[in-house]
Amino acid sequence: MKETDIFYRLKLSYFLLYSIILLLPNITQGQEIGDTIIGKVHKITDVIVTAERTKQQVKSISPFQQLNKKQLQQQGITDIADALRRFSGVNIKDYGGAGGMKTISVRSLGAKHTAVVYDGVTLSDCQSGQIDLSRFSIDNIQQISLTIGDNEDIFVPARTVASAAALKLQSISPDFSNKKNHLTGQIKTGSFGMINPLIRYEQKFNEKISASTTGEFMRADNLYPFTLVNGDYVSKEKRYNNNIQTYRGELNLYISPNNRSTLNGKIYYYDTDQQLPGAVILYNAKSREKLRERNFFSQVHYRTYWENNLSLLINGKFNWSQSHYHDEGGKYPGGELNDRYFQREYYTSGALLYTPTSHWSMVYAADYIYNNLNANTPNNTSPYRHSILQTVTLRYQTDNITAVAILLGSIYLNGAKEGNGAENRRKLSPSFSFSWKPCTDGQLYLRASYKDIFRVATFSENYFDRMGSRDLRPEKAQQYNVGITYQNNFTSWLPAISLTLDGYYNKVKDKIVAMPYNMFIWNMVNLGKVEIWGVDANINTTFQLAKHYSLLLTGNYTYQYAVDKTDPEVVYYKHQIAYTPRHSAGASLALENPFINASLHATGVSKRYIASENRPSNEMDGYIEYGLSLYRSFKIKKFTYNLRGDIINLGNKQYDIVKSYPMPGRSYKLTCSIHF
Amino acid sequence: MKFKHLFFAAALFSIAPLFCACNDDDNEIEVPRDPEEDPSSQPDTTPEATSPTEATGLYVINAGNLSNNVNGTLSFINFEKGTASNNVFFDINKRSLGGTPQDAIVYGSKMYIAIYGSNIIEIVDKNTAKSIKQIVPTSTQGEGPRDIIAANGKVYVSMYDGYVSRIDTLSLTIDATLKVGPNPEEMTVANGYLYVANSDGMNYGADYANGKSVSKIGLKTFTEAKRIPVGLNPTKICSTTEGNVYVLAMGNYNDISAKVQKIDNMNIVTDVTEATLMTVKDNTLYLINAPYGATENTYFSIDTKTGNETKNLIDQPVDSPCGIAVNPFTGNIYISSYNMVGGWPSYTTDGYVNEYSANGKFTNKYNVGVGPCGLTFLLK
Repeated sequence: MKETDIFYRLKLSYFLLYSIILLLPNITQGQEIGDTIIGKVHKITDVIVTAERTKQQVKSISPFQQLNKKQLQQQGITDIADALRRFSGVNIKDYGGAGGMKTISVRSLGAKHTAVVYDGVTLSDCQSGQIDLSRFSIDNIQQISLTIGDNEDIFVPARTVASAAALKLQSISPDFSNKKNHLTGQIKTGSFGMINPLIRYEQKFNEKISASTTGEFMRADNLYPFTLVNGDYVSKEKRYNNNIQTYRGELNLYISPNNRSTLNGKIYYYDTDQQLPGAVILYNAKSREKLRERNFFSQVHYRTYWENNLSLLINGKFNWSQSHYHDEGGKYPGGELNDRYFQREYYTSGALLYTPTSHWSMVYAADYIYNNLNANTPNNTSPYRHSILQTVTLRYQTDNITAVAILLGSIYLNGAKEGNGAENRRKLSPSFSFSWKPCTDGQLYLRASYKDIFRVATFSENYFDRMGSRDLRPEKAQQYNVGITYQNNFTSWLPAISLTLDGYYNKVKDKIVAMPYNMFIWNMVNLGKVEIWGVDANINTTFQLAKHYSLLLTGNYTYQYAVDKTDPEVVYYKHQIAYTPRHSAGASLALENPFINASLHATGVSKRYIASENRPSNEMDGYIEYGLSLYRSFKIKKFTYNLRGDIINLGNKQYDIVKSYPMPGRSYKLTCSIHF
Repeated sequence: MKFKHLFFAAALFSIAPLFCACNDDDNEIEVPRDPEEDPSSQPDTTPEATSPTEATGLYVINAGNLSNNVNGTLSFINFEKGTASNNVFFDINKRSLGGTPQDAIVYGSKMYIAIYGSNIIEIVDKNTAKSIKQIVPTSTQGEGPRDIIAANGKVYVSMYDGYVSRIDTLSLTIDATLKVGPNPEEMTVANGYLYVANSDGMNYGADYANGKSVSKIGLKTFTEAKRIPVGLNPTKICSTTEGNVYVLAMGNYNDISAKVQKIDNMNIVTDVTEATLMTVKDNTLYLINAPYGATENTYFSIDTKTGNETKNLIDQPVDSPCGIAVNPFTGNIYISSYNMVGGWPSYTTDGYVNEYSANGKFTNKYNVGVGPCGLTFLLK
């Protein structure tokens, strides 16, 4: 084990150690929580920290994948969507370019079944029910993880387990191990007029209080060329009306009132102004759509433990967001359309962990969420919703067995200021997960889990304009998973290998879809049943070629047989659902050396269909996209310099992820940062 | 791999110049064709088309579904053979018709197709569907071709941004544009006037307040003579040989239901019946009432001269009707429909057209494309 720390040397060990202390709530997720990690943390050596991180994916009782900052660099990852392509079981919808919306769907359940958690608190969009991941900057991310179902990390708010899967983003936390303040300046520039400066300042005031602040600006013309194929005719086009500018700012406060408690606070602001190029319409390149989005939130997070085996976790959040959609054209009354939406959320959560013995832990968590939506659109009713979520969780853990059972009770109370509210919903949702380590000395694990979960209708689905339906039933998702995982350290040249293989079966019922009456009138209905059989596989290996030379290989593969079971009379019965490839995969190869580190990576999917019916005219070709990254960091006096160059879509492959939203061809990014 | 890219690039550059993509500066774009093999590319010698004597087939304009990026297609039902061919535009022109074609008209030797999403008017040979010209309206000629009709050597296109543009059938260019009410839909010609239904369909937030009218436009002067107030949200309009105009006001899909109104030549408006789809042959209105949320639809006809109503027009209903046409020579009835999924019309899969004899007896079913709502006869 001692040899394994070679490639993780640098200052990573201290870095991670402090991360754990300062951002306990997030790091502890998936670790040995419950048994008072704070007491032990000072004993954790760098070796253990390193090993823990890779071990987590293998030991997890349900599928869990993560990438930390170093891995993001090693695998040549350029944005959040790119990071998620390196996870198995994931389908990314990407509308292309820096401003194109990017959403995640896990195991074909649909984007609205994945919770996105930022620094321990779930992000919400009560209007659309999905989070656009393009608004998060990869440069501010310490760690990305994806949990499918529920794992052994039980000390979480009730809301975290109220979705089929949770994508957790954790922002960078400061490291004060050698200095009381740090300044980081970074500038990134790239193709299509992209420029992205970032500045971060971190200050430790005393042993108990520290703070960090980050400010970032990004702009891009996004006027990228693409090839339009229309039957026998091929033309060179440009993605017009596609510029974007974004401001993002964050202020974090870290307080340790005593060595058993942490109190973190965050203030976040995001402001983007962008043009929307829309779908490519044949013979018509005109596009005049614009979108302005603003988001403010503040959140607090408090955690403490007492000698009587009790720990307390409190979270609170206020969220405000506004979006303004603008379009022009003589068809609109007055020549333009301006739709404005305002959302608010008040959130509070408390969780109590009780660990009577080293084997048993119990959690009771209760969350209250208030959401409302106001709009200037016709038929706006100003809907609101009170959500009360409670969980009772039981965990049993020995050296060889981990078992977790969760019961989630959800109450959704709906109302509208002007008009009728949607129907209220109450539901109990069970979840069970289990893992077994058959040989005491090995690193082989077998795991199985079941989760019965649902999502309530979004405000758009309930109320939007003339199409919302107030009586929609929740969309139900049942998940079954079995898996086998393995990790070992063989010899000096192959210091680490880890493998995970999971098979799953999901069933989605009462899928909420929009059905038309004519082009003006649509209706949201519970129609649709999907069955999904799938396999996820991951591999991670490190080869130690020589001292200071290592080769890192990662791979992921996903198989999804996701078919529509809505109506046996319909032509697409048992057809693969739209935008879901049967096969998708990713791989990266990184060479770390004392001169310049290099990473080559590829992601690809097999053919997909753009609509429910699997016929040739709905078919979209599969693709493989390659990328190359070169990076190097060096120190001159007290300054650390990082230089990185990326080539994205190396083969200049023209492909769409969403039909008629072409992705950019070959593009370049150059990043320089100074840290001291 | 390098070789593959080079080959691709070479192929790309060799093909690219053949195709002019739409360009805002150009008024009309000549799409590639071989004039020698295509006699129809010669302009008509007379603007007035000869009077047709029969309909040999039915063109079905399948709108597709722009929100799913399913482009529109053209199907053709051959009456003699009793068969339907799909993708006829793509098959001969080797390119797509475009996004959301809405309507077409056969006139003279050509067919004119209004393609809303792509904002073009595609002119094709009426027999082969081979493209003759693609008209891209300039910013002053309106945007969003919606409905298209022909009269006296001219073709008229309603533009959804509030205009009617007139195409000269000799030069195949837009020679005049007239402002009408907001979001005009269907048009008809009667008594030397062009009648345009002003729906104001995008303004449902203000109860379609600026529509509720029919613009009556003098064909010779091409100016609006009168704006006749009608019901809420007029979308369909047709006229009898007697010269009466019938307009269908869709209502608001809520408390105001769809109704048919008669506009006589003195511009007096009277209510006729309730319906959501309408067509005409001679002096008979063919109607379907398929209101929003209804479980059963009614199919009937009204003889406008006698006022006699024929209930149960056809012996076998369709699932979800979206278009109706009656052969002006034989009286055979054609009704297009979506297929259903779980009790709802499917906007992503192919629809069909049912054929009925003049007395309403089902004779044939033709599978066509996605959203087959535009029907126009191939007149000879």
